[in-house]
Amino acid sequence: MKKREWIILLAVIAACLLGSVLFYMRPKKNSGYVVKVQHGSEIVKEFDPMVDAVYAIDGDCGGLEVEVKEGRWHVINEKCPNHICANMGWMSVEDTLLPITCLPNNVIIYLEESPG
Amino acid sequence: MTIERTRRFTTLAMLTAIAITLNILESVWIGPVFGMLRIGLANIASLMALKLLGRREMAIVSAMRVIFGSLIRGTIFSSTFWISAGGVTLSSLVMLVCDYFESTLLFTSIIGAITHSFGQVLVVMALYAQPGIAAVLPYLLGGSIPTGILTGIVAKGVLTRIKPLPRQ
Repeated sequence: MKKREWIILLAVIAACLLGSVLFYMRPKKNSGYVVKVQHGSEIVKEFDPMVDAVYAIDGDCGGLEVEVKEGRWHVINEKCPNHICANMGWMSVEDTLLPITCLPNNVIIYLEESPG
Repeated sequence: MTIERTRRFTTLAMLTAIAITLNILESVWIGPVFGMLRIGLANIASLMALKLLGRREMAIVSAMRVIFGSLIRGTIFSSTFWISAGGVTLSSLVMLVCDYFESTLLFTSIIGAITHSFGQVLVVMALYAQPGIAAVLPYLLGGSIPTGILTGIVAKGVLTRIKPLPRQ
């Protein structure tokens, strides 16, 4: 084969490898999980942990916000006195030991597998 | 002149018959190797038509092999027909371009095999509305290279053993 053909062939193989690497490295759109926010006894919010967003949650003590970023979530702008919920830090699908709990607001944020 | 035309026409008919036979042989007896990869033996006839007769004849051989192959198997206008038609159309176009730039037979064969798989995947993506099928692309394209080399070597071996026709 000619030199130019080798170059084209190698470029095709390289594109192939790159494509497969990119495909397997890409973030999954549907994680198979859902994060539920419970206020009192009712679920006030459900969100996909893979979709970046900030959700405002009403609570008994002024409410709080949940920031979701790159598959992790944490509490920000909480109006409670002790800030324990915010100090619990980032949670993720792989690393969720406890639900994030804000007792003054009566809000619990926990992970569940989504039925779909 | 008339003799030459007749000879070309006969060669075209024979190559078409070879392509259809190889196509059916492969689908009935050989089947996919390594899961879903096909060798593409019928491409040997297309390559020979390209080098022996010309570009137009190669397109005829490719089209006839898809249409008659699926007609004989009873799958014409079904999804498998459209998938194979998509693969053959794309690979024929790319092989014509390769021939235009006077590429070697082996390279034309490899590129033809790769684009054949690619065209098939494109049609599956469109037909079933499943973009996720693109996940098999690297596997298919990578596997097409050895099969392309195989068909290229066979076609080259055959072409060196038969009398060339004057190209129009």
